Amino acid sequence: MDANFLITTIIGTVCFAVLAPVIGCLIDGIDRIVSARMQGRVGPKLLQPYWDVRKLLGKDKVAVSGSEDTYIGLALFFAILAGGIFFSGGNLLLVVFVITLSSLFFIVAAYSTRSPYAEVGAARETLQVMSYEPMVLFMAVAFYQVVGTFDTSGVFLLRHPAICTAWGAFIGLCFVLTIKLRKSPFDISSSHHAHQEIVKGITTEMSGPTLAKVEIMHWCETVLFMGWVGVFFVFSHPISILVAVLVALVIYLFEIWVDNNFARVKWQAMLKWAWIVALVAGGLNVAVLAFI
Amino acid sequence: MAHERSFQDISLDSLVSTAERLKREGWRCVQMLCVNTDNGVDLTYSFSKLNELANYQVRGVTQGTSVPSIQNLFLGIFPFENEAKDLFGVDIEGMVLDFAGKFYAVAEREPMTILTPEAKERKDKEAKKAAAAAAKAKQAAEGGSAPADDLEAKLAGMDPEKAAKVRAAMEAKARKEAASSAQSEDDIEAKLANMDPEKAAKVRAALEAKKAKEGNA
Amino acid sequence: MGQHTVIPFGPQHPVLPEPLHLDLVVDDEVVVEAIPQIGFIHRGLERLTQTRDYNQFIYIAERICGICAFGHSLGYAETIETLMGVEIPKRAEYLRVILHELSRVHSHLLWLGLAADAFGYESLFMHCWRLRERVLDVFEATTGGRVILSAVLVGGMVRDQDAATLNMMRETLDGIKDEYAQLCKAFLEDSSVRNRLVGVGTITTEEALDYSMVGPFARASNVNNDVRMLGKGGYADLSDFQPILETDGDCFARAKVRALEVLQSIDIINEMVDKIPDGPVFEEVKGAPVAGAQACNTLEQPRGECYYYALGNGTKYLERMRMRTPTSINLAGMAQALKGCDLADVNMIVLTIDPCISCTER
Repeated sequence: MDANFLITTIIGTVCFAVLAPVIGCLIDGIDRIVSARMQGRVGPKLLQPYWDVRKLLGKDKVAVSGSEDTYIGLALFFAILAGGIFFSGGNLLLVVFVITLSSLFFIVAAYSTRSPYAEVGAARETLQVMSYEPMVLFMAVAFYQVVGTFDTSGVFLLRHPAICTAWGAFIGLCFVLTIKLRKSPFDISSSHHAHQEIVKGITTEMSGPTLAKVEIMHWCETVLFMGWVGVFFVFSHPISILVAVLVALVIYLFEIWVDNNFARVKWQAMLKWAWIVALVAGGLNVAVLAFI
Repeated sequence: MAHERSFQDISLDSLVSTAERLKREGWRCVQMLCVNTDNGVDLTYSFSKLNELANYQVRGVTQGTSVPSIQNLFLGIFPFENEAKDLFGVDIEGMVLDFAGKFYAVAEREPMTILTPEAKERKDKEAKKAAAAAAKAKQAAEGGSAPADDLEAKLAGMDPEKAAKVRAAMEAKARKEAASSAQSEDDIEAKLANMDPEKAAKVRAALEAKKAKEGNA
Repeated sequence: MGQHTVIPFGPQHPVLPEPLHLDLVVDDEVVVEAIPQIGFIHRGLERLTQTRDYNQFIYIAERICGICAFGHSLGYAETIETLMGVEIPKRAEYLRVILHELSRVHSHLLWLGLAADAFGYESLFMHCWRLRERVLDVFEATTGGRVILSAVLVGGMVRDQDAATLNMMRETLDGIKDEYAQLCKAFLEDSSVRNRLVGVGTITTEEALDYSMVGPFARASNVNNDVRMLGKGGYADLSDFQPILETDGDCFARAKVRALEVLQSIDIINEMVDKIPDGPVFEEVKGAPVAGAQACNTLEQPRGECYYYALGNGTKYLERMRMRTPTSINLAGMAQALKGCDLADVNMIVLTIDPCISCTER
């Protein structure tokens, strides 16, 4: 690991830590308004997620387990680090593993509370990780095959965007994105409204500043995943960055639409479909790229 | 299809056999309810089949009598049997789902057996009225005529010592009343004597006028 | 996990804004046993007969539950009328049926929304409730109340409805019908909904009889116990009434029964509005129930058969009033349906009996 890489990663991480929550918060605000409109409601103001988190930060710390907050802090740190590596042109495979590490700390935090709802939620979150991880790895491999390196900065040297040859992996990514963004029909570990059998699932016992960190972590994750979507459309032409942003927005709107118009599935169905999509879309894509 | 509703009294012993028969015949259990009475708790079990609704009533289950549960036949009845136990203190035996008196978290035990003050007052009044009506009816049957004899009839029913006391008390009361009416006139005279003459004359005139008026009436 | 865990469900649970508590004994995510517990909001309304006379008690009967409020006042009034041997005017009977069926429409729309919310179908949930608002508007226009209508008296109705109001009612319902058909399509044909409902919490016909289940819960298991077909009151004049039955006995069948009952109710209302006779709507009831006189009555509430019992004692106060609500008799069936289900299906099963715990705990 040379010093140059270290410095760009640190700068990238700091920038991501500042910008991602802002962008993520705005995306969340838009999400709420669009969802409300789809349901025929007016919806909250654009900055409602910001005010929510600000209020959460101002609350007293009431936690059943003291370690919970530490784990959430680590989960947030690794989420930001993953974003930093990704947007500073770092290794995509490393990003995938760091964001998984973040998820694992999130799961451990839920387990540490010993609440039955949080435990079931954590068990389901583990299943979610297990469901989407193969597809995410296929995506990284397909990326390597197309770009010739795991470094995301490599896309700027491409003559065609990665989507031209890796569209199978892209479709697979869009599918697991629903799981990663905790959208219905795959919001089984913790739904946006606590109207399911395990209340708020994995975040049931989290409150105040801890919950605020979870929210910020989700914002960062959203920005990172949108980056994954966008990276398929970036190539040497500078206008492609604009195209990537637009595509990411379209995909996000599509996710909101899916969220509103599907019933939540059970984990058995989620696991089955996530793996089928991963093997068919991701696996075939990787196999085809390997033989070309 | 008309709705056939019926009420029928059964004995406590035949409760289980009745329930078994109804189960065999394909009835479904509708509910069970309790009514608190002076002679214990009345239980009503309702069953339904198509357009029939049959209510079987077990009368006067007193404290300490255990009632067999029919949950093994009709599990759906469990909320009501537990309710009977919690709110009426009916001892139901052999429940499949027994909440052991904790089905309802009530502050006082067996609240449905306790009357509110208003209801108690009303009930006492009713009881008094009923007793009076019964006495009257009895008297009418005996051929008594004057209402004054009513008291005598009552006294006759009492034990002699108490009756003698009551009679003595009544005589004393009568004497006192007679004395007081005589006394009241003397009192006025005494009072008038103490007043100034002019005023006394006025009062006397008024009193006489009143007496004359009463006489006319 | 491996060994059994007990997951508490309620009495405060966001899926179910009702104080029902379930101890779910789970093995991994499979429910081994479910033990229901109620009694958190017992209000002792039946005991209030001691301090409220039979005319006042109708307002208490109405406040048993916010959804079936009209049904409870209607069932109570009918029971007292039977107890005292009173005949009410024909027009009042029709008006009662109209408002009762309208409250079934609103109750079922509410339920469909709740069910959609429970399986995470947010837009369906919102659209169901938006339709329901229009029904509530009709209530407001006809009786002045949206939830507690206070429209029934012992002996008839509080006020008459003129032809214009009845027409408005019919037009509103016709307007709802088209939108409702789309909602039904989403409910009954959407694959993600079917995925959550079909084959979940199955109850066979025999079990339904064994557990004495009532209402749409039983009708989905092909048990025909719709009290409306007994033809009491205005129902006697319906040209044709066939209870809606399903044979599958799963959550989907229950949803389907309710979804179709809304359309049936709209048809009943339209027929009643067409046929309604002229005349008075209230006849004052004088006197008091005879001591020892007792009467029982059943009524098809949105959630199923409701049983009423009244015992007179010669005064204006009733000796005993009993209201057995549909949910209380369905609890045993619900516990049975929960056995062996997935934890994720618990909320679907609990919702498909359409529990109303406030009703259960008078």
